[in-house]
Amino acid sequence: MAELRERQILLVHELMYQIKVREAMTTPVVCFSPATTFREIQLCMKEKKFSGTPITDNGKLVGIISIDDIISAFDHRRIDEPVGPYMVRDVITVPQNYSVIAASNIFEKFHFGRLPVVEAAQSCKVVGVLTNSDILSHLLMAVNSIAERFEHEESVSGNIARRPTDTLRFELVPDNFDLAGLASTAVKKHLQKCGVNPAILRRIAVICYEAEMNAIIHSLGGYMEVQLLTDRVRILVVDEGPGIPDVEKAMEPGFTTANEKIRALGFGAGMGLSNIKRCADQFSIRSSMESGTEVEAVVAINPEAGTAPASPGKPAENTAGRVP
Amino acid sequence: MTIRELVQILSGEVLSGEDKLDRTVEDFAATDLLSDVLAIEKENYALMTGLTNAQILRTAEITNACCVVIVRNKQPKQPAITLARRSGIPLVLSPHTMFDACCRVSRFLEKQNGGAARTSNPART
Repeated sequence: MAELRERQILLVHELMYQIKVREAMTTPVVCFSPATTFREIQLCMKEKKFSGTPITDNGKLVGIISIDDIISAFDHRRIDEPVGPYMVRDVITVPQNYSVIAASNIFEKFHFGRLPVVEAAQSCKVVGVLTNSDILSHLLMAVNSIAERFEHEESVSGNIARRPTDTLRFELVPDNFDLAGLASTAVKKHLQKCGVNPAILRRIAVICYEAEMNAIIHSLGGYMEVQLLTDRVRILVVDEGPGIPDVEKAMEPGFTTANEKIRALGFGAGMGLSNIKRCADQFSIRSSMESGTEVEAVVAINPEAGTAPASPGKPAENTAGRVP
Repeated sequence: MTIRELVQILSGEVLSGEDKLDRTVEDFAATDLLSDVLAIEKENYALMTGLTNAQILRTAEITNACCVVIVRNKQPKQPAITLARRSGIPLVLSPHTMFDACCRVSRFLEKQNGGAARTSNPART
């Protein structure tokens, strides 16, 4: 185990050197001229949801404006003035061909939210913007694709045999929407390889995804555990809080506490828990304001029953027992 | 209809998955509410949406959608494009509004079915 962890750390470290800034950065980037007013930038920030922007003059980087500058412009009643005289002129940049480790070191040293990415060292031509979360997302995607490649190689060489019990476990990170759904997709792919019937697999995937999104949106973090047994799949999602005050109410279709940001992502319709229940053969939820929420769903996979999908929402005959 | 035909009908631009355009589109879902997509049971359907985040591809992958169409030429965010490439689900950009896009699809289907009104499985809720 310790050896595995060491290898994982080595891999991430190696990737930090391998991944170039241009692969992880956001591009194209919105730039403004020094003649733009604070208000124009603020409106654009609100619409496009970013919190800082490079200021360019004829394509050349001349400064940077962050949300803090906008707030102080409000404070000093100069929101309708051009940003030119007030912007930070001494901008630290990172060339696109550098490794993300270089950018990561700059972030650590200066505590910046973002770095303008320039075409080459000594160049003032902005080609993108890089944030810490860009690096993290790209890194995790890279790790995931390596893992998938290994899995693929293993399955090609026939090493993945259907074992009587087989458990997958994923950590769920709150508020990370770029990675939301990664765990559920991995579960789906894995169970597909294990030969789970496609219609049943779809229900399992929806349960995982809804529960994963719930944990990412509402909780302080937690984990998802998916267990493949001979006749059923058991999905357990446990979070560390804050707990659901009224579970019965939370189960009502349409009841939601999600904010505007979540709804803008297309979620938060208040359908999650009832949809999990609909897709599961057995469902249980426990929540406490002290320890958090635990959702458990069981789906029968009936390998002998052939290809006919079990009717959703109704317990399958061979799993009559209730979830404790 | 195939994804290729859908792209033509919607004057679409294929952002990823060019090699999979000959797959058949069996059904459609047009919504900005992914929770709804998760609650209905459709297979090999085209997900038409005004959203541009990575979750449209995640939802498509989880629910076995065959392609994702973003309406009104809204540029998808980078994570969405990356995920489209990785999942192999074609991602299409259409200049039409959601309403016009739906009308175009509907007209095509009616023509294809010889004018017969199309019935689809009602959403289970």
